Amino acid sequence: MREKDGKNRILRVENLVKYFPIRAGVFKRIVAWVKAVDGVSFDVYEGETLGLVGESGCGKTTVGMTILRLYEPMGGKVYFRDIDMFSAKGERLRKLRQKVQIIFQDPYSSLNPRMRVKNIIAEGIRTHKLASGSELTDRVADLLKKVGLSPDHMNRFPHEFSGGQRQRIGIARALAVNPELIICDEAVSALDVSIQAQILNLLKDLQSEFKLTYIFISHALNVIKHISDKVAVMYLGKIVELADKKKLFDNPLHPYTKALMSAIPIPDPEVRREKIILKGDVPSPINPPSGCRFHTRCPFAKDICKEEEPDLIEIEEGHFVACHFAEKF
Amino acid sequence: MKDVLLQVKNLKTYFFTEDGVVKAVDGVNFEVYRGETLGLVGESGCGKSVTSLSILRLLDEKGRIVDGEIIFEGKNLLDLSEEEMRNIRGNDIAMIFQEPMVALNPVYTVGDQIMEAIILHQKVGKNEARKKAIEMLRKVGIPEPEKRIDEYPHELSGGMRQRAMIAMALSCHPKLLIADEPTTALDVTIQAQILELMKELQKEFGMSIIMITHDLGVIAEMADRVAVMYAGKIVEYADVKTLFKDPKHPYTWGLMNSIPRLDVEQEKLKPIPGIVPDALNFPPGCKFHPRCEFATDRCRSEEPEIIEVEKDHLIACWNWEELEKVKKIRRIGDAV
Repeated sequence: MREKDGKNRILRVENLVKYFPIRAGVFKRIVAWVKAVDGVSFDVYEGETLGLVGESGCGKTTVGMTILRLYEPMGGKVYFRDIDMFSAKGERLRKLRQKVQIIFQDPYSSLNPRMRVKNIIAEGIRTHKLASGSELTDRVADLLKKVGLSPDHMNRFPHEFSGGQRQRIGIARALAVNPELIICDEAVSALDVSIQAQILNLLKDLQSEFKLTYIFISHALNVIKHISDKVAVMYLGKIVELADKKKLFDNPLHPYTKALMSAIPIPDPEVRREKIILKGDVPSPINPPSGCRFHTRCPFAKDICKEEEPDLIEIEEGHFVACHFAEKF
Repeated sequence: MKDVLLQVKNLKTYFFTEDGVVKAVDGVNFEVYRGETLGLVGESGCGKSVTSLSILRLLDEKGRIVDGEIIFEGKNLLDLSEEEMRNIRGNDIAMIFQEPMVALNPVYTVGDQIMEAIILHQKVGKNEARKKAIEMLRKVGIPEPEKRIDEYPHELSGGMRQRAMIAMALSCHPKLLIADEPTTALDVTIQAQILELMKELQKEFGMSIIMITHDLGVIAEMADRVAVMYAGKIVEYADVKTLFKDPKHPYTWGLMNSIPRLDVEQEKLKPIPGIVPDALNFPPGCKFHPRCEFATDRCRSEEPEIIEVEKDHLIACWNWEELEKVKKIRRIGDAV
């Protein structure tokens, strides 16, 4: 396990690739591929939160799902500590899945409506044989308290809870198996702002209590800024910029990151900023543009951007940008 | 004196469900001036969408306007016949929705749908209507409108569909546009395009807009005046700058403290505790009192009326002076 600044690396993602086939015709032949994730690499260190931000279709959710092998990867490697997650099988894979958990966006569809809260939370504990009998019940009660619910709620069904409370149940379920890394996939996006703030605070508290590492996937840049230590910005299956939060927000270098930041309405009518309004829509990941995938919408695109795909290069320490002209901005 | 286009007086819209009466909108008052944008902001279930559907009388069969008046250019819309109301809809007041696929008919081309509105309301022929529809699509920034007019809604992207819906809504130059979460389903870079477009079109056509959203950022950017709704009532009503600089209702203050900000450093957010009350089972007194850190016995038993506490700044709160004291020590976005 390599160390950097005294921190242990917990996850390494190397050149991750995931395409989805599009089938058509009587024989359901593959006619095209959706290039959802197309060569993504990053490291995550113990105890930190990596924010993965981008607009719909950029591949951020696919990254999370593929790391967990909920989607089978098509290429690349993922190491949890030093274990190759993609070649792990049987018991080893089960152990890995205990260490890496996920919280989903929709608190309505991610909880089985026919199961009592107790069983939803206990399922993982039983599978991984972490507790049984009265010890199990105590553990579920304890977890409910930890996420701000009452142990009396144990025997209720999901429909008896509000959206925010259901998300708390989802968090308790993830915590139940003592994970080290939790992937939060748009975990607060479906919630009202007053509830969203409660859940964000809860996630932060749990992180320091249990020394958790998060990969926090969201389209909301303000939420990402609040919760992350490091941020990766994705566009059409690629990371276009990756840096410490402060560097990224103080000095965004990729034209897409800049546009994304300027597009977010600031809740203060006295603040008037110059907005960068991008033209057109995000192109389809089935047939992404040649060269730099952002060139069709980039206000600074030159000929080279249409032909050559820029690599993700370290422009200053810990600040990676995939743009031919990053140094000029 | 500014010119009032729409005045909503003591509007009460209730839903009579099998489980009981849901008081979705329970005594709401506001006005919309000509050429301005009124923001209607609140969280899910606060009644902001039902308010707008009530104005157009588009409620489903369980919903009924039980009291109040909706005065549009001097006429009470609640007194009009269905026939007269149809003339108002689309012609004088148009509406756009969050999900354009719900508002656009999937089996007709975009052009058919825009032309239908134009032919119906402007009494012109088909060729003339087509010309106007193409012109409108061009105005909302749809590239190659001559070609796009013959496409079906599913052939357009989310942002383009929203533009098509705006084109349809504005094709008859309404005096009032009701926009219900028009950019909530869109990505931020597309949202920025649509908000910009709405501002331009408002300038060009001089219409008024009621902008309904849960997003305080969108409100800050678009609205001239704002009504904050909670549990079927307006709890605060002020011009946009005053509201953001000096929120006086504990709920508005709490909302502003809940949002993670791009422009301010925050270590921890200060959320509003608890959850929105169940509409079938509202608490007595002020409906916000179970979540309010300033609640007193009076708040728990007596419901406050909305009153003017400073010029053109109205709130419904018994104990707002307590918040004023706290605001002197704790500013919005401060770490707690």
